[in-house]
Formats: sequence, structure tokens, C-alpha cells
Amino acid sequence: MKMILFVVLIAVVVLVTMMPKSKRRFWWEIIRQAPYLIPRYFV
Amino acid sequence: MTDYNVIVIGAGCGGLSVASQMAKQGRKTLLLEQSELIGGCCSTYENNGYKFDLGASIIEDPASIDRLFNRLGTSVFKEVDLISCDPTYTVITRNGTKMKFPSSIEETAKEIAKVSPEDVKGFHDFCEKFKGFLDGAKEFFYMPANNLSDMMEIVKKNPAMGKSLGLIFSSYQDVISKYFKNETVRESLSYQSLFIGLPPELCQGLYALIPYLEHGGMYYSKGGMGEIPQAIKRVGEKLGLEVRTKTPVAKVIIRNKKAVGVKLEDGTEISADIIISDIHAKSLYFNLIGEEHLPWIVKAGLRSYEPSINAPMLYMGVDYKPPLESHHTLFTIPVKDMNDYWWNVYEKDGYAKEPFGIISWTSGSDPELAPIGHHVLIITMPPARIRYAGSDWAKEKPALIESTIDYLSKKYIPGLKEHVKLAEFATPVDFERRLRIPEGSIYAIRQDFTSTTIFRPSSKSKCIDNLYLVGASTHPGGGVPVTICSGMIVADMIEKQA
Repeated sequence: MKMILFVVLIAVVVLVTMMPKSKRRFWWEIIRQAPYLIPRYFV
Repeated sequence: MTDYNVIVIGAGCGGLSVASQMAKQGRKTLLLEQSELIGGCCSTYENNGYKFDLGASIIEDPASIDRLFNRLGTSVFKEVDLISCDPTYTVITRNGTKMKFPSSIEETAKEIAKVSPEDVKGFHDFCEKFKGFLDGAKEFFYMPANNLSDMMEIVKKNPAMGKSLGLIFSSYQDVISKYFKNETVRESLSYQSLFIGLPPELCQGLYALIPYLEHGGMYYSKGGMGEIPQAIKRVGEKLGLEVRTKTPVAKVIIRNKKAVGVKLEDGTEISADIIISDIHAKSLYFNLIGEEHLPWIVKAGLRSYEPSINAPMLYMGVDYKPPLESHHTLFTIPVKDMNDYWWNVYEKDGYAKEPFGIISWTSGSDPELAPIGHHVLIITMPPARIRYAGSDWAKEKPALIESTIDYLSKKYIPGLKEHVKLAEFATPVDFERRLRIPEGSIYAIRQDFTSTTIFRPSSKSKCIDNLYLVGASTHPGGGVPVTICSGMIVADMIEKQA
């Protein structure tokens, strides 16, 4: 399970890094705030 | 036996919307407002014979406001004298190109053709795309989004949402770039991303519908934007609503995880079966309720929200007719510069050396807002944060007034400098103090993908019973018509549960 999560994380980082700058910033903001989605759901 | 069936805290547009509907449903309702003005960001105040709109300066989409008045047994067109603003606005780009945007799509296409004939087809495709989207997503703004099952219902009843994932998962800038090739045209259609509170590269693509929505008609209310909340209050009072201004609430009284009343700042306690909050969700939960009543995950969620932008305003009374052509003039900067401003200035607590924003010539639409021969100009300045690197807002005010007037005189409003009779600058600190909005953030919480719908504070509290939220910090978000919709959503929820 940990291995799968690690691979997904690396894939996302690589994908976002390869994007053009404007798309990268849009997606980076979503990724940056993704950890907060669960607590926000409970507000 | 409680004192009231419903207590609403805050008389912004969301609070007025839900309070008047509660009265219409036959509930004994009390609306409490800390300020002497009602309407929140949509209020009008007078200074030396000039009437200034505090924040909002135009209405898009009067249909949703009309839907509220219809529920109250009347119509917005009967209760408020709405003045049509056509052209909707004039854009002056940084390179000096002037473009008018009339209500008519055909006329707008002609204006675009003057600058970039190759973008005319793109403009028609753009309008077609968003017409289809809006036709298939009409009910989104009137439906709750408290949980996953609500979201399933939203997608079911708004089929365009499911079919338009490309708009949801792309940026405003990407959508505009897809339909328009010319940089000046792109610039003229991109400032509107700030109406959502984000620069074009961070704002969600679906909000590119704003430049299309504007063709549905833009209106100004005679007497100032504050006439809209005043009209809702008037109609609500006829239905039995009680409104008390200058009555700040100190606490929401909680017993056994239930909201049972409020305690005013003067110590008076008033009980009610239902409490509805139209204040910022963070202020509600952390200040009025208290952390001791909140589960850790709610506290973590609330702390994680980032504030929306603040828009400093310059209010001016002038003794001449300014050489402007429409109610709104957008003085814009290139898309790249807007994005750079966000990252290099806004995010670093700085401020613009050369402003960009909106000139609202409200007395051009309603001459009675100023003494005879005089006019009112309101400038929406570039977004700013409450922290100000290297100095503080109060110290900067005189210099900001002088430099902004100087800049506008030279570039956009010839003669302005010689004719200013009154000038006031409202900083983020002023907005925070006047409206009690944390950090003066006009849309409460950032409206990006991670802070919308089920990820925005819920309309029905998930940790306190009998507590509901309306206004900018809950679904569907900020803006006058949208907060009015939040009031309709909560009114429906309460009616269904009765």
C-alpha cells in the first residue's frame, strides 16, 4: 500500500513538473491544499 | 418556549435573504446587525452630499435576486429602480487600446473585430459554450452542497456540470486562451477572474462564464447599491421580520451541542429554536461559539482556509463631469502581469506601484448620487493583503490617494486632479474594522477548487445542531446574487425539515 502511494506521489510530482508554467501553478495550488480537503469536508 | 423561532446574525445580503424568507414562512424572526448600515459589502453611505457604494457597484444576474423577491410575493423590478448599464463596461488596456462591451453579443463581436477580426469566431464559440453550460447548470446556485449525496444531486440536476469537467479542472487563463488568440482581447476578458478573487492562472476555468454572463444585462440600483438590501428589509418587515441594527452579538449560546440562543455584547440573552449566521465562518466558530465546542477536525479545517482577496477602494467626489463612457471602466494590465502581481507583490504583502482595477462612475447612471454639477467616482484598486510589508496602511493612505489620483489623471480620467473635492481611501484594515470581516477579505474564503461546494463551510453546521450558515463563507460563495442564493438554500433546508 505504502509503495503504491509512493509511486502515485512521484507520478503526480513528475506530471506537474512537466506541465507548462501556468498549468503547473494551477495544479500545484490544488496539490498544496489537498491535505486539507478531509478536514474541510467536516466543517 | 423560546423568544424567537429564528435569530439571524448579520444583515448582509445572505442574512437579509434568509431572514425575510423565514418571516414569509411564518416564523417569528429577529435579524441582528452590529453596524448601523445593513447590506454588508452592498451598502451605500453618504459623505458631504456624495453617496458612495461601499463595495459592490453593479448587479449581474438580476434573475437570482428576482427569484428571492418572487418568493416574498413581489419582484425586484417592482421593489428596486434598476437602471440598465449598457455598455456593460469599457476596457482600457495598459497599451491604451479602448474596447466597449455592449450587452448585445453581436455588438460586442463588432467591437472585438476592430481589435482582432480572427477572434470573432472564438467569441461566438465562447458564448455558445457558456450558454450551454449555464442552461445545463441553472440550479447549481440554489442547491445545498453539504455532503457527497448533495453533490450527486447537483450533478444529476445540472447535467452540464458533469459534462464540463474540462472547465472545472482548467484555469480561467487556459479557457480564455483556448477561445481568443489576441493578447489585448485576452487582457480585456481576464480581469474578471479577480471578481472570484484569484488571478487568471489560479482561478477555475468555469468562472470564465462571467464575461458571458455580463451579456445577460448589468444593472445599477437608483439611489445606490444599498437600495437592494433596503428593499429586502422593507419587504421582510412587512412580513413580520424584526431588524435591530447597532446590536452586536457576543456569543452563540450552546447547550448539549445545540445552538439555543445568542448573547448580545450588552449582556442580553435571547433564545431561539434556530440560529442562522451571516458572518464569516471562522468568526462564528472561533469567536461566537468557542473552540471548546468544536471537534479537532473542524478546528483543523477552519484554520486551513485561506482568506479571499481584499480590494482597497478610493471614493471620490468631483466637481466636473468626468470624461468617461460607461458606468464601469476597467483599466487592465496584461494577463502575465496580473499573474506576476499575484506572486511577486500580493503574496509578498506588497502593493501596486501603478494601479489597475475598476472605475465606477455611479453618478453617470444616477446623477442624484452627487450634488448638482458634481459626480461620484469609486476606484476598485488592485487586491491587497491586510499585512503591508515595510509600513502600515494608515501611514500610506495620503500617499496612495495622491499617487492614484495623479496616475488616473494622466492615463484614464483627464482633469481629475484639478476637480477632486473629496477623497477617501478604504484599506483592508478599514474593511476589517467597518464590516468585522477577518482580514477584510471581501469573499471571506478563497474560492478555489479546494474551498468550494463540499469543501466550503457547510450551510447546515456539522458539529452544532440548529445552526445554519449563509453568506460568502459558505456555499455557493461570495458576491451579491450568490450570497442571496445562500439564503434561499438555507430557507429551503429549514422548510423541508419542518
